[in-house]
Amino acid sequence: MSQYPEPLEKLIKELKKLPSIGQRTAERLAFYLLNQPEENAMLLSQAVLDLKTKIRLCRECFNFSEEELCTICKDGHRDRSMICVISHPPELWKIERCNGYHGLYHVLGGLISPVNDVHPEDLHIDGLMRRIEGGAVQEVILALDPKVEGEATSMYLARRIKTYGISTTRIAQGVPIGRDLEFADELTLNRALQGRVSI
Amino acid sequence: MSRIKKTAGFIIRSINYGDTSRIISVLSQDEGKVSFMAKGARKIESKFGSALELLTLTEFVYYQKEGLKLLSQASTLNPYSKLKSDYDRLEVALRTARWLQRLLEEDHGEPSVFLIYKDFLEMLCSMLEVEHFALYELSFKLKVLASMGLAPTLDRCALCNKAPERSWFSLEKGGLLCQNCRSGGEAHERPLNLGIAKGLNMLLRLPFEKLTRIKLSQDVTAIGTKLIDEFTSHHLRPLMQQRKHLAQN
Repeated sequence: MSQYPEPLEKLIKELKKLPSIGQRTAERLAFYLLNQPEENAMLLSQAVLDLKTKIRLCRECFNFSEEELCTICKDGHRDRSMICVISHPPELWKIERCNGYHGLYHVLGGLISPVNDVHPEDLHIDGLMRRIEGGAVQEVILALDPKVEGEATSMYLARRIKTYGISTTRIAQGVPIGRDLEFADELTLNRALQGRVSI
Repeated sequence: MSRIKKTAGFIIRSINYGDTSRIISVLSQDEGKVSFMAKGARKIESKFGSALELLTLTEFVYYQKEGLKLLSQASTLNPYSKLKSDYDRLEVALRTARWLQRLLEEDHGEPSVFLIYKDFLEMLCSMLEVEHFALYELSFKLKVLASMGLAPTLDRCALCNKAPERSWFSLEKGGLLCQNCRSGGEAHERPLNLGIAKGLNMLLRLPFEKLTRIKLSQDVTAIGTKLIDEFTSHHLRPLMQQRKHLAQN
């Protein structure tokens, strides 16, 4: 026998499917929504529905978009000679917030990971190659996670891009700002030394 | 009361948990396959640093709490950097890590599998010819199966022990079958050339360092890999169903 009325039980069950939400948090959120005006509940449900019906992947870069081309690909002021390759859209917005890059992006949709049965053909790699073949691109910046899967993907892409004779770079790796050098591990410190710059 | 323990091993799988944590599967030196919860491992300022990267040989300090092994410290023993700086090597190493992850049972395993994997990764680091990688991968799989008591019989009939003139490989019986012993029309039987069976037997018996001295046809690698993968899946399926059943009860 269920503890709550069926609609409430149903909402708790659905909320529990969200990441980091357990039974107690789901109950708290459900009760909060129950006490909200109907209008707020409608707005929330419409927003969730819009997410699934109005958002799609950009034809060029595979970023989330409302139209066939995303706002970045449509922007005529962007530097079209550079493509920054990332694994997932949230990383794109993180780089955008830095305000230090004004080129285009390409979202792979993941990283090559034979451990998890993810192979090059499962990612948007052919789309990237087609953009490079277009001829306007002069540099591809690989901004992938500095972990084994990121390294594997970077090496694979560098090998394929090399055949087009354009520059392939990778974002620097090293000690994060605000952290004590003493606590950096050997591999990170080694990369930081390899990527040192003149001042 | 929880007790602090220490072990060393290779990280063969890493999955994200929550916003900042990771669950890592380790092929350990003395406990077989074990999984640890590494809280905060995805944070940039994580104390674990690069010690929890896949295919790294790491020393772990952990304690058990309510059935979970919680990682307290991790320090790199060998990052296997050479392996991670070449795509072809890395792909083979990651593929074998996935194979081990599927094959081995949690908290149970032969310590010898750790040593075989260590030898294999070291060999992979030192090899120059990409075309030999598949041969070593096949030899690695055969050696691991043997250490788990699943070595296929490749030099005689698995049922009557006689040297066959023509042979079939039986996934069910775990080795070669002669004309007299095969049941015929069995879904688990595959025709297998005796030359290929001999080659596979060499890959099973010879240590990695001696494999460079032998010359085997490419068929041994191609047909052998397909056969051994089928053989592994055939024996893995009931094992996985058993694990699922045990987890449910």
